Amino acid sequence: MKKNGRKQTRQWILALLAGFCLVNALCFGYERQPGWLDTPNGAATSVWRPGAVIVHGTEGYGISKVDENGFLNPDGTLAERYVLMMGASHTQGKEVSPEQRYSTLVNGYFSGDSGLLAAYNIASDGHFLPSQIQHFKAAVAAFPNAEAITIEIGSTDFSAQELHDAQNQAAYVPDNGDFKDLSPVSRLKLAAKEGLPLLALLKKNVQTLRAQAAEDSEGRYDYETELDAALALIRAEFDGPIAFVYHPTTEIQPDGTVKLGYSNTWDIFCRVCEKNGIDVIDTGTRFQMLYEIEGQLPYGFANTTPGEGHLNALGHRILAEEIIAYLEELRV
Amino acid sequence: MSFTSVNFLLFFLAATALVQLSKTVKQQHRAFLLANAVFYAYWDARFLLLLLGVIGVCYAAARLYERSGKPAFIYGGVTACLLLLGFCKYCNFFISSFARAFGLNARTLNILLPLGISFYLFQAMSYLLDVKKGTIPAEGDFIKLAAYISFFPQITSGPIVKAHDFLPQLERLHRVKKDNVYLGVTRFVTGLTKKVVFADRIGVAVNAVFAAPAAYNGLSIAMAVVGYSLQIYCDFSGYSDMAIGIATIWDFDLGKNFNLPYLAENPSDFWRRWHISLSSWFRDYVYIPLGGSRRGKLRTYVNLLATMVLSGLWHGANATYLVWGAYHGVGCVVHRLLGKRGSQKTPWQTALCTAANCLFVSAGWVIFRADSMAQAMAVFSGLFRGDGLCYVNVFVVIYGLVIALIHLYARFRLNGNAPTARLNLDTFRGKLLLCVWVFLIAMLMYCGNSAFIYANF
Repeated sequence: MKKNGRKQTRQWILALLAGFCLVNALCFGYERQPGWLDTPNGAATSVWRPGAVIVHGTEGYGISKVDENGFLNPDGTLAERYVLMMGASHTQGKEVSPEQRYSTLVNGYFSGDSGLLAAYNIASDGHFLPSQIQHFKAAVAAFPNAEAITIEIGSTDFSAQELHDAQNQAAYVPDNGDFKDLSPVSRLKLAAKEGLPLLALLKKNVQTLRAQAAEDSEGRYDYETELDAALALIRAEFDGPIAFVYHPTTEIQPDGTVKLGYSNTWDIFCRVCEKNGIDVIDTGTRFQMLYEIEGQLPYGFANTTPGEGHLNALGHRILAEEIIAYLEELRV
Repeated sequence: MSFTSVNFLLFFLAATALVQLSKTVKQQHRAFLLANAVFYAYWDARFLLLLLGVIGVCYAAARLYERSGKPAFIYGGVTACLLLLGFCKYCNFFISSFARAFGLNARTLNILLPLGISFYLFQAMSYLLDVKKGTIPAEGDFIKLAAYISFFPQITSGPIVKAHDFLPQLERLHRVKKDNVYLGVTRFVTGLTKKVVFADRIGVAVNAVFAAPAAYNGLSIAMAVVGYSLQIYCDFSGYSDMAIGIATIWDFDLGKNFNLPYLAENPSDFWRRWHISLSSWFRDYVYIPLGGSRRGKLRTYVNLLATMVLSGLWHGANATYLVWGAYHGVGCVVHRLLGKRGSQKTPWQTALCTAANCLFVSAGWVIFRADSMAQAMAVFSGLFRGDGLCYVNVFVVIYGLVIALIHLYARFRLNGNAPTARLNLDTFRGKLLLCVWVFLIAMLMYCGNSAFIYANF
């Protein structure tokens, strides 16, 4: 009896392990996130492990390779002068194939087949407006030959406190985020993270289940003052053109029309940008035209919902065209 | 406490231990009742008293009937159940319909719908009507009756187990047996897959299109209609599978609630395969008492139509449910009018009938899913629209194919009956399959908001 019990226990443990390994192997082709390092003194909030491959299949589908700096860019050498592209997950564009990403399209337009990178993407997950302001100085220091900087944002609604805190800018530390300096324990953790994508996916699923909608920021009384101070700061740190690339949300209405969703603070944001000599590229009109003329939406995929989530290939194309038009105009 | 939550797993393990530790049948009834009360109170403790009141009324009515032999007690009990259901579920519907019809400006009442009321009241009425028919004696043990009416696995979304099927099962001691665990776990995991992997993923696509049908082209709307047919089947039969699986672990047989309904060749066949517990309830307690098919053709058609309209209304207080019930009623009547009895169909005829019935049922689901008849009409008219967003969700296609393959397999290999999986967890292979299955569910599950559709009824 006891012997059989032990055998059954052994079998269950083995089955659990084997089952996990099998499904984990499948997960490599479905959703696989490599290890990353937080970089409080880097050009962005975090960097991926250089050379790693990201597979993203839970929204759209894309396989991306991480470059030597830990960002998502095509193979190539950085051109002498380039456009630096800051942003969050939309700019990373893990949901589309690398050649459909807007940074790749802009790069292709300006560098052609030269193999040089005329547009460099330094986006990282969750790198929204406050942290973009906070890391702006470090980004300029890390990429000093930038000719222009674009900052992708999907919302301008942040609290005055967040914008105030963002003005405490991170100083750039060159080796910040170097995977070679990791301790053996951190290396082991990283290897586990990369080798067990199923665990990472389960963690993400649990987080999604627990996630609660973030509350709208209150007390916008100081918003304009704090934003003004923050934008004045980044304006002072970079001489070249800076442009925020804003993409409003799209919401399909019951009558079949599409309503663009702008942030509550959008008007204030545009006013403060103008005051500080920072350009704003608003893709709203193009999004509206995309729907009305082509009957398509810039967000959503065949495995999610139209009009929701991240930018799809069409959304990336529009952002690329708008940025190219803006940069071309600057050259004139 | 949803079946898909960790809290439920902990609750179920504790309840199983309690049931297992009970030494006598009476002790076990108390254990069942306690588990039922905790499960129900976790959802909404406020309505526990109402549930207790319903059980009390049914208990008293049946006892009084047995003592006096006066059917008035039974009818009184059934009327009380119907009045309660009418008040909680249909009051506002009737007030607003009446006001609309006579151009009045009426205020509706602020009534909360108690969880599972349609299910437990139907079980309570089945008890009273079974006692009246003499199928079962009036129950002398209040706790036993309460354990039946409030039985937690099916209280929120069915299946509706009739008293004459369930009460006899409470007369023996229930023990957790290995075979039942294997069968129950497999059934539960099957239901879980249907719900969190299939139904919830497909639901995302369906909700998007039904929220704004005017924005989509005909293909997208057709895919959403197909998607909803798949979603409601996977959602509801998934819940039933989970409920039946849980009950099986406790050595209860809740019967079959679905038998591959999309293999049905006509509307009547569909209702023998879809929500079997509800359709057999209406057959036993409405259709047959109305005279069934024994009082001439015309009366049979009237009975069929009335039963189906009531069945539609059972789902909710909305004109769409009423129309949906009538739509199926007319379908059943037409089938009875035109159907040739006893004639053998060729395989092609069978396939054609099945496809036509699928179309009929799917069109019905549009009415069922819509918030109003106007929205249903918008969906129907959109089916022929050439312009608009083209949205073909991959999950609708992939899971649609999987479900179609299972149906085809059942048609050709299992004589049209649903396959029943039972993993032999004694073997390593069985254990491995279960582990892979559960990990696959965790990998592919949808993590957004997704309540069971039938929990609303």
